[in-house]
Amino acid sequence: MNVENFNEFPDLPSTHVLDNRIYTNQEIFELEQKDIFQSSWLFVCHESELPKPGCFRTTLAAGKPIVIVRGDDGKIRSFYNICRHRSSPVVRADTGRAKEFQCFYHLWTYNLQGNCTGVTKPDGYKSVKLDKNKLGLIPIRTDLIAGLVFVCLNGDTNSLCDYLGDIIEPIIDPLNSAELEVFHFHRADVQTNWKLWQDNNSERYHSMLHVINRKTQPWVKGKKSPMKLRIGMNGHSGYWSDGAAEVDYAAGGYSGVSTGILPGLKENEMRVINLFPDTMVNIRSNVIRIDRMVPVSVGLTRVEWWGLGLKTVSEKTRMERLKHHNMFWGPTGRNLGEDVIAVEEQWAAMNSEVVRYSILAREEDLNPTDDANLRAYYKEWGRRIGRQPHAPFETINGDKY
Amino acid sequence: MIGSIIEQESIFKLIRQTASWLDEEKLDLWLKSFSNDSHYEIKASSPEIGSEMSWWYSDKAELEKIIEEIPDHVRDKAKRLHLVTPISTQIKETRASVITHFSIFRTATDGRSSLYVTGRYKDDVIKENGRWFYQTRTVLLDTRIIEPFTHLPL
Repeated sequence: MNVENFNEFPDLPSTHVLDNRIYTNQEIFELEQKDIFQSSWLFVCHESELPKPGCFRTTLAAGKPIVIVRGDDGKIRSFYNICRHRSSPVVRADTGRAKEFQCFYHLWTYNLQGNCTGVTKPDGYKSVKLDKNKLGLIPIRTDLIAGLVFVCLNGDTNSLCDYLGDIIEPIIDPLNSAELEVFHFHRADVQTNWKLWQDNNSERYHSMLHVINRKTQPWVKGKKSPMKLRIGMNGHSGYWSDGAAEVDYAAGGYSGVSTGILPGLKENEMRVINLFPDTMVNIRSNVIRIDRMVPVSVGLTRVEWWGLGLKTVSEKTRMERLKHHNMFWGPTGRNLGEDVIAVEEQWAAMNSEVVRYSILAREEDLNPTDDANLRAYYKEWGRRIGRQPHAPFETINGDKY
Repeated sequence: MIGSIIEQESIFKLIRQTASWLDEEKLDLWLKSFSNDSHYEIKASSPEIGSEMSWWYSDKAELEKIIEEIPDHVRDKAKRLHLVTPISTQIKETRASVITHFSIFRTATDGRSSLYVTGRYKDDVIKENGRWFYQTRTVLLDTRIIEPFTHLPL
């Protein structure tokens, strides 16, 4: 049988089909960096990671080095982590606390507001009248919601509040009603396209991959669930219930994982939001997991994982929360390792180009295994880069590239 | 003195033997080397958040459940090889503390080998009925980017 037979477009609405080349094509990847990552609000850290004036955190946003810092006035700001003199990084540590930033190369200095405060051997610039006041670190739009710090590299993008819309509401109480702490952070370079990790985080159909979920979420294989998908604006989505939303840990033989519950949550409750393009906030009773992606190349994605919980809890609760987190997530988690294997092997198989199309055709009245949220995500994806997810080498108008 | 050396060798044998059982995935035997009131922990530190983290903390009953489920997981099937070097022991009658340097090499199914993780075991062991058992095993990882993730104890 000829391989080309498998490249026939499925007999489905075009909205229910993806061309797998959106995950493997270099040109598409570059468009995404420009039209999505450089103009979206991107989660970069939690405000508790910057507890005092001068505390900073470095990372990448849309592939560009940035530093996020709390100023003397308590305000959190971000800058490109690049010296205005010869483009060396101004901060070389992952995290720390500074009174000012000094470039290690030629020792130019900047205050926490990003102003250039010192040019080494200034007399050498006298004849050209170099004005250091015009050479501050380049600022980046920075805003917070519920303690989550976001940056946006594009000045024209809507405000963070408008960008997120109401999808954020179910996590406001758990994240914003009491002081939180980050008790876990790790990262890995996952050999997959970044969207496959976001897909995996968004769709619930794959829950049956997980040994624990098959036991603790009986509705994974059933038809009905108290949990419902929620479709937000701008490609965001979520997943929670309006009432009885229990994960049945006891059915899986697990106990003591639901003490020290976060504000606004019920025991054994789970709420998830997936923010376009690259972030997930997943809350289970007493613990919060946040995923963020840094696309490195079309087939390599640096994924960063945070674990958060209430700052003021008993040692017993702290330990149980830790077990709860580690049972699913973290590098030794029961679920996370399965997810990574799935998306890495999926991406490798997609590269063979034997099967051209992915099917996102489940319609289940927004029950958890409905694909409606993925369809909404890819509608936004297509709008942003001007390509059709089912035919990415044609424009929205049907012209071919 | 000779008695102490014999006890030390007996403890080192436990460490070497349990490393081998992990490599062979004889996890039932590995689990039996823990005392009933024991616990197992994997720790790493994060410069990004400036603190130490616990990645795995289980008592013996929890370990038993996790191990029971391992065959059901979709997981990394690479071979592993532990290299262990006990560095120091402090023995007090039926209890001892041991520090062991270790590294684990990983050979993927395609035959490619690489260093997987490296770190130290910090063990508290107890002698019961003439045999040494782990009371606490703390795996202190230097490696903090683990690829792929692990369903198996380290």
